[in-house]
Amino acid sequence: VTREVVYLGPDPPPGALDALPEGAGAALGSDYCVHLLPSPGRFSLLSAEAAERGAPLLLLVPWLRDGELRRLLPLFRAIPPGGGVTVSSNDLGLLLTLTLLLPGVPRTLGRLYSGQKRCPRVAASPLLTPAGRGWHGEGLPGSAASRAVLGSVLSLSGYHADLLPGSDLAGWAAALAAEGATLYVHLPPAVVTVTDRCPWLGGKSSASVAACPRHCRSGVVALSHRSMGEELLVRGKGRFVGLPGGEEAAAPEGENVVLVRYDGVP
Amino acid sequence: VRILCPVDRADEVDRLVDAGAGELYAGVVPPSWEGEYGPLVTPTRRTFAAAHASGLDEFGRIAAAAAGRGVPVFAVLNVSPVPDRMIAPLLAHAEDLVRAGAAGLIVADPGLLAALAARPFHAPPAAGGGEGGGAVPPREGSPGGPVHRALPVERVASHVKPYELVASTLFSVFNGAAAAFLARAGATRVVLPRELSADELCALAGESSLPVEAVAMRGRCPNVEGFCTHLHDDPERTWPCELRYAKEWRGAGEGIPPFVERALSRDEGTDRHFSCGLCAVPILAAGGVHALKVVGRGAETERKVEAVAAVAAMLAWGEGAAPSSAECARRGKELYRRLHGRPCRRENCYFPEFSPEGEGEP
Repeated sequence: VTREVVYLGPDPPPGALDALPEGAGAALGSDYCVHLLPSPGRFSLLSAEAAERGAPLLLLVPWLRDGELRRLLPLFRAIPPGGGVTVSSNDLGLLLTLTLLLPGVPRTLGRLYSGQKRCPRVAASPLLTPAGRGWHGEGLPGSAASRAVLGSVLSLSGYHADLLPGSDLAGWAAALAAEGATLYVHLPPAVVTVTDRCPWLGGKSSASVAACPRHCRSGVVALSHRSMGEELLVRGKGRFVGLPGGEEAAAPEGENVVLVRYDGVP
Repeated sequence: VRILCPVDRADEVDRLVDAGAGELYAGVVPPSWEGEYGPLVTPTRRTFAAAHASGLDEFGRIAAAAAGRGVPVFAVLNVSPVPDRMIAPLLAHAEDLVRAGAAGLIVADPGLLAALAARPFHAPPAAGGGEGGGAVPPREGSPGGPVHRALPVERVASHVKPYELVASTLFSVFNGAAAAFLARAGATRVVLPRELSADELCALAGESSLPVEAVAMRGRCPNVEGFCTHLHDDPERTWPCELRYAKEWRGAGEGIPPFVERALSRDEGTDRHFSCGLCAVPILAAGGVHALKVVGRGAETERKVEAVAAVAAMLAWGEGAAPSSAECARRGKELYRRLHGRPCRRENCYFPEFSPEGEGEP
């Protein structure tokens, strides 16, 4: 049985879970911006609603500066016990902090740390050898050596990866299953790169503002260049690619596989 | 504080050290890796030959020349991810580098970091003329054996290592807890991300149990390096972050908001050769940053020398004077203008907090 989680936006309003397909869970927050996270109050309401429905929640969290990490502690303390909420962290420091402060919160390594290379040039470059192209699909979830050290220090319950044709996701899922861990497979669009200076803040660092009006939610900018092979989609601090062929890559199946589905650019 | 500078050839060493470099770093691509993945995927994350020492012997000559000047050389092994089957070959390569005189290894992969932490190599004994380096002695057999077993954290961290293990900027250490994780995983030093402000860098330098490095000159990119997956394959070395893209708006309203378009276009004007963090140098030195890093493996020697000399000049100016941020900004911008013959620009600035107009636009 392959489970599914649907991304509902950074901070879904009450009732948003009504839109979930039968049996699906919900993802919220952001892999790439600290200003796209729910408030502790909103999150508490949503997690209570999710618990009532028996729907698991996946909270996506980006990289964090010290001040941001401290400021967000109330959000993580709002996670109810019982394992219904899993944190996907793109910050090693947050993972260690949760390990020490809130060890009962299930924590997973976010997709920015997957190690997969999603640049569209990988498919288009005439200079890569087949093995060189294949290396771009490798990832930390597929590395026993990396999992050993990450797991021993951070007690991870899972890893996140993008659905890329070059990644052996079925092999990763099998290896993780043997360790009792989950593989979260994010369907396109994939994150190609991120910045710290948000174009929607006029190029300021997101850390330079206490709050953000989230103007990035009003649209995306498509970037194209003949050498890239595919257009990039910019929203906020993230650049994404739709990955033609990505949707044809077989998503692995299994009890320890969760598909994360997006309606457009997150 | 030391100035850490890239070096690609032994004949560069004296000029770089004369300019003020107190530490050097270089990469070597081992035949085992290139034979596996071809020339574009390297264990040093540089995709052109000029950015590497030509081989292990040249690295040994670099290390010997540097040792003669009392300067350590770090070897770059910052590829990630490292597939499990490539860990043993990279451990063998690391052993060769240490035998050739490397004082430390710069790594970016958690598995490789832990494997290196668990396998201390023995640096060559001090020989006449320096602290190490020179001709590469043969390795004693293959490292072999399982190298990626799960090691208890305490055991990983307790090994005495004769070489430094530097956690690359690719680990994206934005906070003290992330540095603490890397210390537990075996790192003895950490390179902090280019996005942090001078205050944030100093705070981390003060709080971290590991010595920290900060990038001070050259090589700025609009993207967070540790999370960027762009392929740098253009033989002309124009990278995807520097391309001029056609832009199309897909959303509410009539078009791309003007301030968004300006910010995107400004990022496309980034030129890594002109990027600069001079204004912050005295502040970072006073704040306890262990090393100020100059970026630019593969750059011409003259450019490396210029960058090191500029950082050294800022350090010398600020030493013992405790200059204010405003004074640092004036001095840094003046030095930049002398170096490049033009005023600095926001898109090339590591520390926009030193710009009087502030960073970004409303």
